[in-house]
This record gives sequence, structure tokens and C-alpha cells, in this order.
Amino acid sequence: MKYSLFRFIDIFEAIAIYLICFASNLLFIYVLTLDLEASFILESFIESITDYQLVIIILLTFMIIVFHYQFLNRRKTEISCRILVGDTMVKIIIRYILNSLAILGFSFFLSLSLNFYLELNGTSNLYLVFIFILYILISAGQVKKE
Amino acid sequence: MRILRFFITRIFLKRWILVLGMILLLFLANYLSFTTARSVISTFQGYQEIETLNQEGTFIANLDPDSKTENETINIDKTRKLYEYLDNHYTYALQVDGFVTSLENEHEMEVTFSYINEEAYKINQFSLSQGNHLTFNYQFNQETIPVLVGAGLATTYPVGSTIEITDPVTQQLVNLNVRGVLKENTHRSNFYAPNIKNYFNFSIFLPVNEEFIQRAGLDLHVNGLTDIALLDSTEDEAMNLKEHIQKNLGLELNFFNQQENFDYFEEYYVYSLKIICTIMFILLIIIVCLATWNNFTSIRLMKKDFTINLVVGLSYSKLRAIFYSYFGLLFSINLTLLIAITAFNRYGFWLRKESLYATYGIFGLLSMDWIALLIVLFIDLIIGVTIVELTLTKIKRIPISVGVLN
Amino acid sequence: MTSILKLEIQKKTFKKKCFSILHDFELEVEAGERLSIIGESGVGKTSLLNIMGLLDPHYHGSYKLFDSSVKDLSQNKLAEWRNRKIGFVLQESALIHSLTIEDNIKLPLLYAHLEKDPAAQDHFKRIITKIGIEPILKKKPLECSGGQRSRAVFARAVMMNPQIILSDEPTASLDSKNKENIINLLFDMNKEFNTTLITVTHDLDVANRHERIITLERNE
Repeated sequence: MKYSLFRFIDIFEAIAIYLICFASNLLFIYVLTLDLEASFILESFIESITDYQLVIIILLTFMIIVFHYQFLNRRKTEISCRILVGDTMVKIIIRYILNSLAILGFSFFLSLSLNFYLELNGTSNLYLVFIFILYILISAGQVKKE
Repeated sequence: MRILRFFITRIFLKRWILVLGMILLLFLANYLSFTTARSVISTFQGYQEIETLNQEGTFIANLDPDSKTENETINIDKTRKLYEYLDNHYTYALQVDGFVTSLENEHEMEVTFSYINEEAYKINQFSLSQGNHLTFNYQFNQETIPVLVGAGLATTYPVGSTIEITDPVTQQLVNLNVRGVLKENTHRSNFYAPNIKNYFNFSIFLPVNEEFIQRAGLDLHVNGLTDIALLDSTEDEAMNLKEHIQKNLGLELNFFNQQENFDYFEEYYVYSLKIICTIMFILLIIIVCLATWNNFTSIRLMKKDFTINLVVGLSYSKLRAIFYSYFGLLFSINLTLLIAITAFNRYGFWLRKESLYATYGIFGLLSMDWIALLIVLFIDLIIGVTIVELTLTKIKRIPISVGVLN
Repeated sequence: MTSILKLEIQKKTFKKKCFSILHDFELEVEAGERLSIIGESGVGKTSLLNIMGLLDPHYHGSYKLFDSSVKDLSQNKLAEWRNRKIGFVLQESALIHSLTIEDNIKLPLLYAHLEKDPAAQDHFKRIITKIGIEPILKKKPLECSGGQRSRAVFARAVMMNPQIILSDEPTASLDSKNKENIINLLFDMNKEFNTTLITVTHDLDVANRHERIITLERNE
């Protein structure tokens, strides 16, 4: 038994969504490095998607907001119970932020293996990490009890 | 309807983040399917155009990608002689687009000249909305040149009107007589990217005859050669021309026959379309998985709401109908958004005065856009059925007592 | 007898709902006392319990618990007291559904850093044997009956041998046998460890078995 609000399934879900976002971003960057001039059809199709790369990635990151939202809603009873038996809201919030950052960090390091595989710059996903940190901090304000 | 409104306003929208998440995911799915469907349709349309040109006995020129042409060796005297040689020994189709000029018109668009010879004109069979087809037996500098204008120029330059302009390729002042108006959205697909099209709504089609070619500049001569199509020709004749061009201009051209072109295009198109469809399929699967996950999390949070409604008389079949209507609503929002974005993109060409891409259509959309939207609607149906049925299975597995307690 | 709880509330205001309750309310409770609070719905019984249980600091008035002014205590101290000195017996739904019954009961041990403590483990075994919930320890709350869940909530409340047990409708939704069980367990704690019992209830039968009954009335 742990202090964390996260169960294995929550961690798995969060990592999966983070990886989808990181991998999508890397694939966009990777596709841009490919020499597609041999196929104009492919080039123009890829262009029609990569032109909106940032918008698509930001839309995908919204799933992390959904994750935090549903997670904190489902944990309201648990937060109440923990406070009943001796926890404090501040400690719960701090633990929530730290746990979320740890999951994000782990996902980022996992995504680095894709960076190396595709021979892309390791910092390509850093801007996403900042966006996710922002989401985590905003969602920490939503840690509430029932 | 009242139950649906109740569910949407009191249950789904109470957790609006989940609804917004679902809309965004479905929009991504719709956008990707739309882009892919339009690429495929546009490629197919372009391929059909190429098929009309690629007949037996036709050899289409193509600049050898490995050639190292030294442009300094090409001069106007040499190209004139070459076209003289072509006129004497071959039947060929020639069309060169994209010579920009400024000509006053109500939309203040740049006007492009498209030069076409009789053979190319016969093959393409452009449809007219007004007036008559082109004639090619005029005498340059002695009489007015009959031209066709694009639909966008029809108001400023109606049939019968005359245009006095400096011709971009001969650099001479010419009098053009508008003989006819091309149908809206008359276009020509790029050979090597059939999904890219030039629209002739702001173009002037100028007929090219032997005399005109002799007066034309180097640009028209060279550009014309790289896309020229020999008609009713043989392998030997094509080879002779290839050697002749190489010897006189130093330009390395390949002439591919019907079968070679078919083989090349089919391999190239099929390969490209296969990759496009695979990319789309993988992305769609990921998005549908995310959308299903999003819906499952909604159920986890709304378990109590659903089960209480089931306790007080809502049947599973009604719940199914509610879900289908809800997804129908989400898809309608997305399709409307998609239409608006596509229309805005098309309108963007008008705003940026990109005359070769400015098009006409209902809400600014072309027929290929509407067909692509229809395909998106079909894909939405599949996605909708998948998500709703999975959701219903999930809800049915929740014992009502447990749901209420939650 | 010594007073362990002294509460003076001028009023408790709900800003969002624009109304107030518990006007000029005073209460003093002695160690080992059995007190029940009754009253109509909405008069503030549960709010009073939350204030007494150090869960709600937003009220006008003063509160002395174990001879200390609650308002002077830090959040950490309040949490420590909730963990060691106060036990909450709430309705059966106050369990964490994603944890097993065993984990739910042992939750207070986690915050007291006694998870591995052999004495605490023995105490845990004694409690579950006494309450009779060994067979459901590995089950999740939603896999248990209402009576089993109520007993689990009780077990969690008494895990740390608290000096005060605050119960909010502990017997609501229970059949007569389970109701009797829970009440007996609470009263046994009171007799055995001199634990103070404060019970909010609608059930007059349960209320009458306490030494003192307070009736909360609506402010006109």
C-alpha cells in the first residue's frame, strides 16, 4: 500500500498517452527529414498534415488534460478517506504533482529511445514536456475531496 | 428527444472536458480521413486525365533526372530550328502553362497565359460555358488571336471583347479576341503529382500554331519540350527525336511509350497511395483507441448517472439510441467544422490572389471535397458504431446496484 | 470527569449557498462519554461532526480539543490527531473502492508509519477477528455486502485506538442484526478503552442507548 493516488492502471494509461503524444511529435519531425522528392504525391499529402503539426500535437495533448480530469474526479472519495485517517490536502497535492512528474519523466525517457532509433535530436520533445508540466500544475488545483 | 436533451445537458455537458476531448479526437480522425480521401480522389482524377493523353503511339517527354544540361548551350536559333524539325516530321501535343501577366479584372487576380497547340487542344476537349472553341489558323501580327478565357475573367472580358496586351512569350503587343469562356474550375493535373492541379479560372488560353512558335521566346520552347507528347509515333521516331534534341540542344529527354508510362505511373501511384492509406489507417486506429478510452473514462465517471436512469426506467435500447444520437451530433459538429475549414482554405487562395488555385464551388468546395466529405461520413459511421457498441457492452457489464453505489 | 472537547460556535456560514447554521451553539464533552446528536435533515449535524473531527476549519467560534485550541494547531498536527486520536465511522461508501478491504483498514497505519510494526499488526488481527471480517480482507469494497462494508469502516476507525469516535449515521441502511453488531462494537470500545462516542443519527433507538442526547433545531 502506498501514499500515491495512482494505481498501476492509471500509470499505464498516463504513460500510454504520453508516449502517443511524444511518438506522434517525433514521427512528424522524422517525416520532415525524409527526402520525399521521389514521390510528389506523398510529399504533398505529408505536407498537408505536417503543415498543421503543432495544432495536431496540441490537440493530442488534450488527452492528458482528460486523463488528469477523470483521474482526479475518480479520486475524490479516496482523498476524503485519506484526510480522515491522517493525511493533509497539501501533502496529497504535493504527492500528486511529484507522482505525475515522475510518470512524465519516465515516459519522456522512454520516448528518448525512439529519438535515438530515428536519429533525432533528444530535445525534440522538450516543448511537450513543458506543456505537460503546465497541465500537471493546473490540474493540481483540481485536487479536491468529495 | 427530451431524454436526449436531458442526457446531453445534464449528464454529458456536466463533464464538458470529456465532451471537448471527444470532439477534438473525432475532429482529428475526420481531418486525416478527409485529407487522405481527397488526395486519393484527386490522384485518381489526375490519373484519368493522363490516361486520355497516354494512348497507343503516344510518347511523352520527360527530362532525364540524371541529365546535366548546360543552359548556355541552348539559344533561340537552335530551339526554333528544332521546332521547325518537329513541325516537319512529327505530330505533337504541346501545352505550356503559367506565364504570368497583369491584366485588369474585377477580382484583381494575376492572369496566367496557357499556350496550347491544336493537337493538345483536341486531346483535352475542354468544356466551354459560353462562346466557341479555338481556331488555330490565324496569322500572327496581322489579325486578332482568338482566345478562351477562364470563368473568373468572363465578366470583365465577355465573349466578343478584345484584349490588347503584351504577350509574355513573344513580348509583342497582340490583340486577343475572346472566342469562348472555359467552364468553371477547368484544370490540368500535374503529371508527377496528379493530386496537384492548376485551375484555369484566371487564365487565357492562347492557340499556338507553327508561326506563333517561331515567334515565341526561349522559355516557351524549352518548357514546351520537357512536357511534349509525340502522337501517332513509333519507338524509332521517338528515339530519333531524342538523339536530335540531345545533339542540337544538349538536352537529355526520355520518351516513354504508353506501356512504360502506365507501368511507371501505376507503380508510382500505387506505391504512394499505399503508403498514404497505411499512414492514415495507423493514425485512425490510434485515434479511435484514444476516443474509445476517452468514452470509457466518461462512463467510469458517469456510471452512477447511467445506472440511476436505468433503475428508473431507461432501457438499454434507448441508451443505445441516446449514444448514437450523441455521436451523430458530435460528428455533425466536426463535419461542419471541416467544411468551414476547407472552404476557408479554398477562399484563402482568393485572398492571397493565387490565381492558379482559386476555384468556384458551393461554399467554395469542389466536387472532390464533397466526395471526400462523403467518405469521411462513412468512416464516421464505422467509428461511431465501434465506439457506441463497445461502450454499451461496457455499460451492460456494470451491475446496476454497483453503479448506483458508485 | 475531565472535559476533552469544548466547542463554542457563533455560526457556521455557507457562502456559496448564502445561509448559516449552528447559531450560538455550545457543547462540552467529557472523556468516555456516549453522546448522540439528533435533529432534522439540514440542521447541521454532519457539519458539526466535521468541525469536531477537525475536517472543517471554516466557522465562527472557538474549539478546544484535548486542552488545545484547534485554531492554533498546524495542518500537520490536525492530521496527526485525526490519525491517532479521532476515529471516523461514516457510512459504508466511505471506503476506497480501488483498494482491498485490508488496505482500507490498514490505511491509518500508513500515516502513523506503523505499517510494519508487529504490535500494530497484532492489533489489526485482533480487530478483524472480533469484527469477523477475515474472509473479505482481500476483496474490494464493491464485492462486499453493505453490512461487511460497515464493519470494515468501523475497523478502520478503531485501528489506532482513538480517544474519540465520531459516527455519522453508522447504522443507516443496515438490517437489525448488523445494526446491533455495529452498536455493540462501538459500546464495547467505550467500555474497554473509555473511548468517547459521538454519534449523529436519525434512529431514536440508537440515540436512546447513549448517555446524553442533543437535539439540534433549525434556526428560525
